Amino acid sequence: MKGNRKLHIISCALLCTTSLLAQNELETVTIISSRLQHALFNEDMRVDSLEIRPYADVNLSESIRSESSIYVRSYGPGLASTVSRHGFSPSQSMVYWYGVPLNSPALGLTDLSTIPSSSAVLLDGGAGGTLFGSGYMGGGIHLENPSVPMGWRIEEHFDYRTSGLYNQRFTASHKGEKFRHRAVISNTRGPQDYLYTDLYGVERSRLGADQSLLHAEYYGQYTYSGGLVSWGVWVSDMDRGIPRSISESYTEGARQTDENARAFIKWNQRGDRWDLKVRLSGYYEDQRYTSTVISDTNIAVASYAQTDFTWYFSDELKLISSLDYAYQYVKGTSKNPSNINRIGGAAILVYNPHKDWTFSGGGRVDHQNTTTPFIPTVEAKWSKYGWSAQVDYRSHFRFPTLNDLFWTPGGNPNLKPEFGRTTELLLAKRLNYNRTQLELKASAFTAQIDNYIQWVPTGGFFEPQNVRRVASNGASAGFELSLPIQAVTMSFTSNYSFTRATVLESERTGDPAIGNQLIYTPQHKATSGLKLNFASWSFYADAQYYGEVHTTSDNQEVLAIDPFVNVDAGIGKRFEYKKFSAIARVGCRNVTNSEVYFQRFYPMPGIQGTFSLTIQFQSNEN
Amino acid sequence: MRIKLWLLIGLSPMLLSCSNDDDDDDDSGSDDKYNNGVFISNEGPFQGGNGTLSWYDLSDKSVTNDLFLSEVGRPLGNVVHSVHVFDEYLYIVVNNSGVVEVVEADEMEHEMTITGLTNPRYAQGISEDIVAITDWGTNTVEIINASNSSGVASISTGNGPERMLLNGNTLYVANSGGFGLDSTVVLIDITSNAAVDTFYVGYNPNSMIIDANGALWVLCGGYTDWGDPSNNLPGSLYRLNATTGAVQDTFQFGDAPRPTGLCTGPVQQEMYFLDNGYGGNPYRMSYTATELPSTPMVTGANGYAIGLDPRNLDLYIADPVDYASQGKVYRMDVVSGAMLDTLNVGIIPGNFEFN
Repeated sequence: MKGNRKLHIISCALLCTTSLLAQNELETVTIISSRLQHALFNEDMRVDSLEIRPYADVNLSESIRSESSIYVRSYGPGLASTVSRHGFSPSQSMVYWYGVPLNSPALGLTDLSTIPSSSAVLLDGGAGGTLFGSGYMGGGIHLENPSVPMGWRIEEHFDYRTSGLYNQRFTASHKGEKFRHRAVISNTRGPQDYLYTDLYGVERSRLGADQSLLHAEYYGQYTYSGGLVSWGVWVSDMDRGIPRSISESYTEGARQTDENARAFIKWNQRGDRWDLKVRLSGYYEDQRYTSTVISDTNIAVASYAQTDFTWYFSDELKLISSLDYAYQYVKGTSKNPSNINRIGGAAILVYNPHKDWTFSGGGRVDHQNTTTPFIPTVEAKWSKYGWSAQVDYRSHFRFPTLNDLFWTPGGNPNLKPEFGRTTELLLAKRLNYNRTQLELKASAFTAQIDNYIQWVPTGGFFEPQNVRRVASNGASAGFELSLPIQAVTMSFTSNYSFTRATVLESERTGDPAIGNQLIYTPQHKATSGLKLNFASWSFYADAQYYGEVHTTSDNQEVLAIDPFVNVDAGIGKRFEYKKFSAIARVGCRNVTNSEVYFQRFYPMPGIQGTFSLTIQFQSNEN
Repeated sequence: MRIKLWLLIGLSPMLLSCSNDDDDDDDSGSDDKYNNGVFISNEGPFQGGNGTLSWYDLSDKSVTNDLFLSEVGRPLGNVVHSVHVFDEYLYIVVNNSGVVEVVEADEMEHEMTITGLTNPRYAQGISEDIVAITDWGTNTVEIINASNSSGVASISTGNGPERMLLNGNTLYVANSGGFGLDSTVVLIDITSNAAVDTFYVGYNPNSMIIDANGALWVLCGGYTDWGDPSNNLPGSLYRLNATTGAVQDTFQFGDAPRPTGLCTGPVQQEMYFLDNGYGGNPYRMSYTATELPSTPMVTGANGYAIGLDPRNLDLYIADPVDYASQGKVYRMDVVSGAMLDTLNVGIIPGNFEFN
């Protein structure tokens, strides 16, 4: 019966998967991609905006699952969630907030569950070592400020889930001729005591999975003739239970608190033939983990400084140069106070010989204890008749994290940086017929990483070593269809990604991982979404298919996570009164009540109802 | 994957039908499938994983992995720490799940799940239906009636009660220190279920045997401070009068601080152990020896646990490889010293029982 149910779900999902919401309901995500803001992106085809679902997701971990090339390894709602893309590990994928690296200097990765879904998100799907430095091997996630209309906008948003989660978010923004401000305070809490069936067939409620997250952020911007200054602050305080896996005894697990603060100031100045961008930022984290067995404190401080200078030789030729510096400090119960400095420099030449063609090439050198080899990049783009194509070769690297270097016991100060290279091909075609739009996209990549850092057993403890050479190859294809049918507007998107990431060689004799798929990297993932809008009504449905996920390096089938499909759907109604509007929505997550695991033996909730209400005031200034 | 999916759709009624047939077959299956071989407990991967049970059949030299899953129909749980056969039952101690599974050993028919434990480590059969279980979580030995999972007695011990040894009416319990330190062996009278004496030995005793002269040998693992090696305390081997606890001889391990797995054969004149429970080699020592052996039986074993089959004197050495993928077990003839076989088992093999 269970097997038949899964087949039914898979069949339905393949035939009619979806997602949707009225466009006037969506918090419109428009990315300011002016040359001044994103000179380094250079209209890269790999960069796309993530459609945020503020009505359905409470944090970035949930939002980003709609991207077919990304796997989010999560221990549960609100629990540690890390991202990997195209087979690259979480510490090989970077997350930035206005250019501030959010990856922990100690752990090397970012916990997406600590990031509320209140920002606009740019996804960079490929390597970018030359552009962004250490860690930018599998791409990056860039959190930016959503665009807001002129005048005041004040919004209060409330979510409730029957799985035991409450979320409230207050947003206030003002946009004037020169100044722009946006502040967000969000509060997420709940017992998360949803039901699951344990190994012995007993239905239980999740124990010790409660969470409380208070988050506040502010962004300010001042624009003047030829320049812009922006600044921002982020603070958050999270207290959460870390439940045991369902294979462990039914008792409360550990507790973890995370206190974070980030701040930045940026200055962008533009001359007749040049752009100058200067950014200073700081990072602080205080993470404490307590269980009956172990207590650990991790305190990390980092500061970053970066200067980008662009010189326009002509309308066809420009040179982007970049210098950056990072200071990272860590202390805790498992490591002595330690710090490290990093400095790097890069230069990229961009040439547009014709309006249809762009060529670029450059390189980077970085130093942290050791100096990297030259990190080159070359790229060519072509665009005409609705077609776009891009081919690029990019090398990339990752320095060891502070835990890799200084963890006691096992930290290895002699680690070499990981070094890799990726070749990508991207193709897109846009078709228009009357009001119907169809956009087709396809891409393929091949990548290799040398000196892959792995924690391996050395007697009684593990030690990080440069032990492996890893290859990742894959392809993605998808489309987006916008189709007005009389008064109904419909959009349908669907994407599929194939990723084959394997260990090619290992320094360890008889390494059982050789030739096997990397753990927590599904070979197959597909996502689809349907949105329908009619007058003040809206409907959405999203579906994701996850292929088999291996959890052991020797790919033991019995320990793999079986394929599953997750479907969310909902309906909304908008009400308006003068300058006020309100949107009420009801929805259902995991419609098919599938057994969903993103981490083996850590169940996600089954079917659950959702209710949300958004009240907005808009001053409508011009 | 697409091919697999459509195959699954097309064949699903057939597969379901086959599944029922298999169940019928099981009901009329052969008896005594598991009475000439070795049960191997595999702890399983770190975090969220499940341990497994492997079976090595001496008749045809075959290995069956994930035995509990295939016979009982569900995973065992988190950190399958040890196995013990007593009075036709196999006790499978699942440490992090806080349970002990009881199955009929020869046929692997599930009898009972003993729950209510915190951090069980080892089981020792006492009499029909009565089993003693050491529990790190409560620092006790729990005396359980396995026929109904009810508690008979709970006896306080020292820190980290580990392996037990039943000698007449006395149950010796090695207090291994748990996550800290201890240096005692507590003696429990199984007729009264009361602690009656305490023997003092080296740091963190973990395993014991009785030799041919009736002396009690206690192997002490020492203490390892992974963060500050200057706090390390050496391992040791003690020989005591089994009745009075008087120390007859001591042997210090020096730089090999984590010896474990003391075991002996049926004539009790030789004993075997690993010099290091995290990648050590097996050693053999006579009960009349006056110093520790200096030459291992084999080098490069990466031993995590050992066990001696008393029926044929085959020594089994568990190699966890990388603690994250299939482990290996080496079978060695202790008489000739020949390596007989290498078995591919589950993740982190950690204990053996012979049936």
